[in-house]
Amino acid sequence: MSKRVLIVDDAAFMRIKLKDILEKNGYEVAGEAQNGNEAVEKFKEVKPDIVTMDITMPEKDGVEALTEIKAIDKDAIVLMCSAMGQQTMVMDAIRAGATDFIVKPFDTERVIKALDKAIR
Amino acid sequence: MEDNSAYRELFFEETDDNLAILNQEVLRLEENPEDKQIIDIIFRAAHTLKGMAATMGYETMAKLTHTVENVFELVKSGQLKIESDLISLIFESLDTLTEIVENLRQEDEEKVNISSLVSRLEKVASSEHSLTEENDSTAATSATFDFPELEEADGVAIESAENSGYKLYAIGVRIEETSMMKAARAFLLISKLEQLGDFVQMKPTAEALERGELDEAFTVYYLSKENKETLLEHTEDCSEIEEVSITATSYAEVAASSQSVDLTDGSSAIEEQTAGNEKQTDKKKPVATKQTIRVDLTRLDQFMNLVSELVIHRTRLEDMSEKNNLSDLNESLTQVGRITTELQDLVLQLRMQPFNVVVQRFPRMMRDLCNELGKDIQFVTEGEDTELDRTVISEIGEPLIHLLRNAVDHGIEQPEERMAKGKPATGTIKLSAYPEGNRVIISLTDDGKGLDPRALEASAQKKGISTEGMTDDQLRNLIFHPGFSTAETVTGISGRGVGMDAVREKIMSLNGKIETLSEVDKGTTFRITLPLTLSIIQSLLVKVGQETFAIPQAVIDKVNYFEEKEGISVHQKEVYQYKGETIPLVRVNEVLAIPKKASDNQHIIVVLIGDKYYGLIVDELIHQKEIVIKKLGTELNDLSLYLGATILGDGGISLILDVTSICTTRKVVSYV
Repeated sequence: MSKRVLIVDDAAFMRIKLKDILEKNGYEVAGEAQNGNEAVEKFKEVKPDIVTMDITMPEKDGVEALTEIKAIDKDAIVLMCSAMGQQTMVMDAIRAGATDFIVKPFDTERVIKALDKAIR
Repeated sequence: MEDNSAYRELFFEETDDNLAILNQEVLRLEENPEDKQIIDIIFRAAHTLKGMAATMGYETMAKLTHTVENVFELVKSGQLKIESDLISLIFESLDTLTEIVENLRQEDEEKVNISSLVSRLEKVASSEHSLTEENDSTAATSATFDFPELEEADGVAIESAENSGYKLYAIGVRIEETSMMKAARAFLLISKLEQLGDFVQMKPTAEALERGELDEAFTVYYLSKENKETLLEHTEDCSEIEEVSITATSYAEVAASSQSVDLTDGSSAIEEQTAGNEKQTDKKKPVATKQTIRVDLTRLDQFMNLVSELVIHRTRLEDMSEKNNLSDLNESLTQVGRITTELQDLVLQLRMQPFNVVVQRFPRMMRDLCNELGKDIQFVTEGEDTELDRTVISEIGEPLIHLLRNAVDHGIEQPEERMAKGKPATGTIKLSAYPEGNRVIISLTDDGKGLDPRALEASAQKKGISTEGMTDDQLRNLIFHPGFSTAETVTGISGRGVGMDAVREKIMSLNGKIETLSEVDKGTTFRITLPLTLSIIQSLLVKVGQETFAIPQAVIDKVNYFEEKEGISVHQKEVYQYKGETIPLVRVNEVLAIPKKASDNQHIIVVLIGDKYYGLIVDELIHQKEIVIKKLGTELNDLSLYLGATILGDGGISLILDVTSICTTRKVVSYV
């Protein structure tokens, strides 16, 4: 049974790319969200095995959304997606309970490795 | 790929520099395998090369340098020992790199196949790597990772924690080199470990990590009640981590090992330092970092040309002021004179390069040669900072290589043979350079078997070269005879029978000369004398017919009055008695086809070409003069009898005689 992933990113391009990477590697995309608010709603709705969470998003950013998701389910597996140069925010996310992080631009191999490790 | 063409030139210049550094330092490393400084230099150079290649998009090159860098990373961390096999492999990589760079320079594609080399390098790296991984002791781990130091207060805390069921772990983590945000990666791992225990010390410190300062590895002392397996499992779900090494230890162990490590480290560091000092005073001053810029050579040449033109016009001005009694001009002319002289000196200096530029590639070559021929040779160089004109520098390399190869191949005997002769098994070849007046002497000495006049004589006779009445010195000079080779078997290294005469020719074309000193079983010394510069030479101005010519003073042995009766006709040739020898006479006007002028002031100029004297008859001597050589244009390339031309003070032009071809031309004429 393939693992179900919730993709959170405000850029459609990134969502499409990530979706493509995931589906080609045996993951199922359970849902997509384009900001923090949507992410929390979708998380409650689809109950994914794993969330990939962009850090900078409008309305509610990734770290806030992560904190809320963790409040709902403290065992939630959330992978942060960060652009280069967002080290402090990544560290904030780790403090808030992020499982791991991947750095854009995405490298298929890295993404899959991180996901595989995260769901073990 | 971006358009990097603008940086190409810079890329190649810096790549050449870095490759030269690598070659030189790897060689030094072979002799001082423990020298951390050398390893650091090598590591940096490899790293720079990799970075540049990657930036330029030269993937093959980046890949190979990356692999080399990895190997040195292991060397640096003490995981990999320097052995001659490894050095050879590194050299092979450097050769391949050079090849790749040459291809790139030709704008060829990167077609060099590096896969086997890379896999061999990787094998070296990985085999050593797994070795340390298997070896699960504190010593091995601390060699891999650089652990923080524990303070006394830590000790107290650790010991009390140990009493209440905690275990002390030494954890080293290496993050994948290509991973971005390494500090955050480390932070992630640390926050995972934090759930299972406490950190005692961390290197780099937590503050540094927060600021994002981390290279690739970090180490911690960590207290936890969990066992090693649980900890490993817990850290394994982090991505982009290359290696996690967890070692159970205790405070007592850490304290003990750090003490002993400190002791040995300290003493060996001191030894290294003193050894280094000795070497420095012994060999050369520490290289001071000077600020330099790179200048296109043609611009320097142009500068040189302009300055010499300025000198010419200054002389003309002086002439005019003298003739017309313009005393007002004198003072400023003196000033101009001084400044132009300084300018001239300066531009000459600009063209100078240290001998080191040539020498630096030799140790590597010598090493390869010795390995190939199974000889044990110590190669010593001296006076690397002696400066020579860059033309000389760029031309002298080939002849020196030939001489060095000969010395290794024919000169130095096999170790057993040397022992039998009561000589040390290790041969010595010494290459030194030093200035002597306005010349530079390069001498190449080996302590090998020397030139045996008898062997040379026998060999010459076999080849049909007449040796009748030759002195030992003359016999030794036979090595310069075209087509002469003493090697009984022709090896790939030397002894192809072409060579020594070419060596001599090359040196002569640089206005230099080569002499041989040799004693059987003691060794051979080649002494090469070279002018400091090729652009300005001392010359003797002479008149032949109505024309003025310049003769380079370097070749002149003696100048005498000449009376017709001194010329002796022998077999349609004219000869002259000089130092008890009979030397050929050359009437310059005949060679140059200039009508003879009735002169009562004829002089004979005795010149030494190679080991032969010739007497040149000229109609009149004018005076000695420092002249600037101007090359004849390409349209006058056929004029082989002239080296070039110079402009005289009065604005007139005079040709500079190529004495060598004048003397040899005459020989051809006389035999016809």
